[in-house]
Amino acid sequence: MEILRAEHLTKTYGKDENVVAALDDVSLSIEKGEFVAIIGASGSGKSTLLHMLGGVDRPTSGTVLVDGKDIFKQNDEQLSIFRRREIGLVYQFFNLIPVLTVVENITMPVLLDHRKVNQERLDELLGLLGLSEKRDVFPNQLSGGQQQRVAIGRALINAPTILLADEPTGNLDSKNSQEVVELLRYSNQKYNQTTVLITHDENVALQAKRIITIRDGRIEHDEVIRK
Amino acid sequence: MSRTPNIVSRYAKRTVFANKGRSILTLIGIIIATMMFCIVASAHQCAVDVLQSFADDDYGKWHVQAYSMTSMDYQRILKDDRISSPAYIQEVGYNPGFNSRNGAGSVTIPYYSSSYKYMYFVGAMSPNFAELCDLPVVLGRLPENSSEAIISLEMYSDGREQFTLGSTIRLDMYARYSEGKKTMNLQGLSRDKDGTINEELFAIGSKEYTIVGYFAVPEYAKWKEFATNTVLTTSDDLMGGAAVNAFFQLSDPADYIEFTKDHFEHEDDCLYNKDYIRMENSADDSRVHLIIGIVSGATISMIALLAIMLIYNSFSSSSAERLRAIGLLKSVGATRRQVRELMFTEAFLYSIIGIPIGILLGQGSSYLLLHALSDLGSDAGNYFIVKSIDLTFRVGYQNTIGTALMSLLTIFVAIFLPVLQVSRVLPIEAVRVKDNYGRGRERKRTHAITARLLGFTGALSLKNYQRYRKRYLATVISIMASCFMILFANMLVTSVTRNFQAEEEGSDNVISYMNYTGDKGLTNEDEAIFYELQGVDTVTSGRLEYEIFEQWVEIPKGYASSETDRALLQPKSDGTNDFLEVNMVFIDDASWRDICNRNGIDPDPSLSYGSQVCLINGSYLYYDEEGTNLGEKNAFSSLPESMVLHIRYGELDSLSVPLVPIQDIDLSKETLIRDSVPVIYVPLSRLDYYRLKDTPGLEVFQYMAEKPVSAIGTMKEILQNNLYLTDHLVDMGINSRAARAVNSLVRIIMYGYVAMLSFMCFLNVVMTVISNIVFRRKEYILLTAVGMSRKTLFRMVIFESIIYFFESIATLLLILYASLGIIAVSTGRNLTGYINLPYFAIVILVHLLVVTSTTAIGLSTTMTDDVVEGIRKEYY
Repeated sequence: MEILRAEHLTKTYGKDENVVAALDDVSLSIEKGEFVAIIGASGSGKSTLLHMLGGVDRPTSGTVLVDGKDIFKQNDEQLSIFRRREIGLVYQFFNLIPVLTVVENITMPVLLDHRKVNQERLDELLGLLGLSEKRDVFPNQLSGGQQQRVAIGRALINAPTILLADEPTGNLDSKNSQEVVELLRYSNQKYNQTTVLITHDENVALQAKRIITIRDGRIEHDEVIRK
Repeated sequence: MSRTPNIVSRYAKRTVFANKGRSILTLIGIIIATMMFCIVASAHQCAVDVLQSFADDDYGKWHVQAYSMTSMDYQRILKDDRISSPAYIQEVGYNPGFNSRNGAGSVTIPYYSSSYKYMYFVGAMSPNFAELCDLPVVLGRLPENSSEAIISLEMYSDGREQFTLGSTIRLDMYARYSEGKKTMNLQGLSRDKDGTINEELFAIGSKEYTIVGYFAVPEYAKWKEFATNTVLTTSDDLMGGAAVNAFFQLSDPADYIEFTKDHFEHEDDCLYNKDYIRMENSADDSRVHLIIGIVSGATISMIALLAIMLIYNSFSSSSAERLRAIGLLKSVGATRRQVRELMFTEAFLYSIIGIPIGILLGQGSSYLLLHALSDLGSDAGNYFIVKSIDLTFRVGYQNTIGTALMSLLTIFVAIFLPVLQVSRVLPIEAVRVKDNYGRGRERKRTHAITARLLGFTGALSLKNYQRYRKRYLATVISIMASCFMILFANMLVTSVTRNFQAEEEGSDNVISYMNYTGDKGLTNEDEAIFYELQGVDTVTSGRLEYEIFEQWVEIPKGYASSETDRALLQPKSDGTNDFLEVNMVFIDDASWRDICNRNGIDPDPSLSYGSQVCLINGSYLYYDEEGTNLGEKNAFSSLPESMVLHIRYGELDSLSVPLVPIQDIDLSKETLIRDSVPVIYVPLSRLDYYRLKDTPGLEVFQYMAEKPVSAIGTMKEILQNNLYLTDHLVDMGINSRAARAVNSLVRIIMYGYVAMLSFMCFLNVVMTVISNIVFRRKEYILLTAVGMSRKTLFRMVIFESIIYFFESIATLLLILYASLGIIAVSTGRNLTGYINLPYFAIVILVHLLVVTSTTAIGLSTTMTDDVVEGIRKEYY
């Protein structure tokens, strides 16, 4: 079942002679429960594509359909609500709020939605992330790997339709990188969570079921490596 | 049902507490702004109260006065329920003084040359008249029945006769008729243009009254021709047929015109108490309250403007530093409304802490300030011819609520733009903004000569300054605003207070008693009182002067050298000498000897005609139209060595007197010579010798007292015990003390105000300087990481601060001179002369010190030796 579809996505920066195309007519389709890795050189447009898919940035042209709905037809308010309910985002630099505790960072999307936190899911997630003992500590008291696990927790707390991870292991050592990838794979399998991951690391990419290669803003290669 | 925790407000709260430095600066700004709003609101309330008390004290409390109406009409009008309090004087009759003890219509009192003695008006007043019309009884009491009366001070001392307290006055009463109709007029008999009296008097019997008190004609009444030369008795009931002068106080003063239209055919039949109505803010043309409102509004606007700048800078730099956090919030689903909520929550937190503290401090400061200024207020009141300025602190809930609302409004106006900017932050910013130093990357070239001149560090500073010029704008404006306000306030204060300086220099310690003696002249009793008053505690010296006016000396024809001198002479038709009017002033013997000794004149002349007296040119104080003292001028430029003096009163027609010009005499400050009349000083012992003992004149007792206020208190008791009017005792130092008090009030209020505003500007400077450092923290750390020494870094940053400081000063000079130019063009006042250069230099240096030291302190507290930790650390 198709959950995510991008059609003719283009993103350009600058004007007239200085126009640079970060994405150039990119179309792709992702099935529910797929674990997709996007790879490419630095500046190839992977992060831009990811941000379009997550509704974080708007394309110059083209559409993104999530569950058949064009997300960019929504206004800013609706798009924000869409992001907190349907999308989970994990960044390379964790992007945690330093004045909020682990639990507050993780539950932020739920609380922003004025909903009650499902304690069972929170406890399950904390256990899964190995952060049960760190519930009330602040991010600066955690290691890089732990911080990234908090970011993954924040992305998963709402059981989003799609989990987008932008080089989640880029700022971690190999041990922590492996743990993070394991986590992403586990959530993909356990919750049938559609996951799109950007990475430079070939080993990380190989753990996905499908690898899309981007080059100069275009999809160069799209291959399913595992069923 | 448990509530969902509000993550936005939690984040806001923690941010406020996490950023202690900025939060404290912002809070101090809010507290000071609120405090100042509160002080201005209290001052406004106090000013309105003072106006009201001026009005009550000096204008009477009535709104409409109706002349000469019938008692029936008066009773008809009383049915109007718009009247809150009515009062009247009813005509009893008139006395022209044909056979009374007071001769009427003949005596002119020279000092008040327009005050001819009029027909006496005898009126019966309603019980509340004295209160409604502010009729002050200066000695004695109000009459209690129709056989008692009070008289005006003018009747007491008209130059001829005196009614003492307890004496009886018998007056033959007349009614006045004009063209066959009965008239009511408080003045003398009216005349046609050719001077013919056009009224007739008809005798209606005689009345006898016991004098139980004296009243002073109220200030407002003097100008509106009310109740001078009046005998007032009392009446509970209106007498049918007799005319009434009615006074009405209305429940709503704004009704005064409608009220008049409803009851009177012509507006001329009535008089409005416009000053009182203006003070009550009910007159159509009332501007007093508007002006106070504008001043308060302008004062508050200035505070609000600076507070807005401060809070805006705080929020603006805070949001710039938190761009990534805000972007992140949006990327995980925070809506624009939630981001706005975040900022509003922070503002609300500052408000609930800052506003109550500000109000408490403001009310406390207002109380202390007004309490501390109350002594100055009581002195300063005399400058405005009121008893005193009663500076009373009043806590009104309207003020408190108004202050709180104003502070809230200021805060929310200040955060409006930052909130708008932040709510528009795109979620992509969370990813895009990696490091602050990535911003402002426009290439700035430094000229080779500049680079060589400034060296590497200097050139780098210049480049940085050019790159971050936009960010430095807030600092530049804050420095400029602070300097501008301090300098401008200084110029304004100097300009305002200069007008009072001449009066400030007057002696504080002079007490004077002035009285027209009437026919009795200077009596032995008067002399005894003079010496008794001189014996009062803290009185160090005294002088008795007895001035007899309208004497004449002969000046040889052609002697007057100037046009001014010639204008003073009365030419004699026979072509011999001209006459010059002089006044003779007899001085007590001790003072006479003192003056003579100081001037090398023999104080013991032989007791014969032609003996030595002193004649000096009378000098007088000279004022321009605005009331500025231009100094003293001589009335007559030079006098012959000897001349014939014509004695108008007494028994001598003329005598020849040799003249001794006096140099070392300082009577000008103690005796205000209003007319350009030369004065002859003569020892008092000669008064009898010249047979002028019973001549009417002005007796002046002058004293120097170390403590004039307490001395006056004792003197008043002595005068009262001897049935002398205390109203004639004047504290001559009151003007200089009042001028000084006004000056002090102006200085304290303006400098206090400016000090608080400058403090806010300083906070702003500190805030923006530190924000800039924090904003570029990573850049600085990286510079040290690639090898720049701390010393060089400090030098670079301090040099940057000096560059933008000089930009502030250049802007300051531009704005200062532009403002002065605008003022000069629009008001014609040139304030450039009031620029005090040393003061200017000190102000600039202090600001430079604040900027550079804040930069150094800010940099040293922000910098860390751990480069990695320094770069990693996030500021939220």
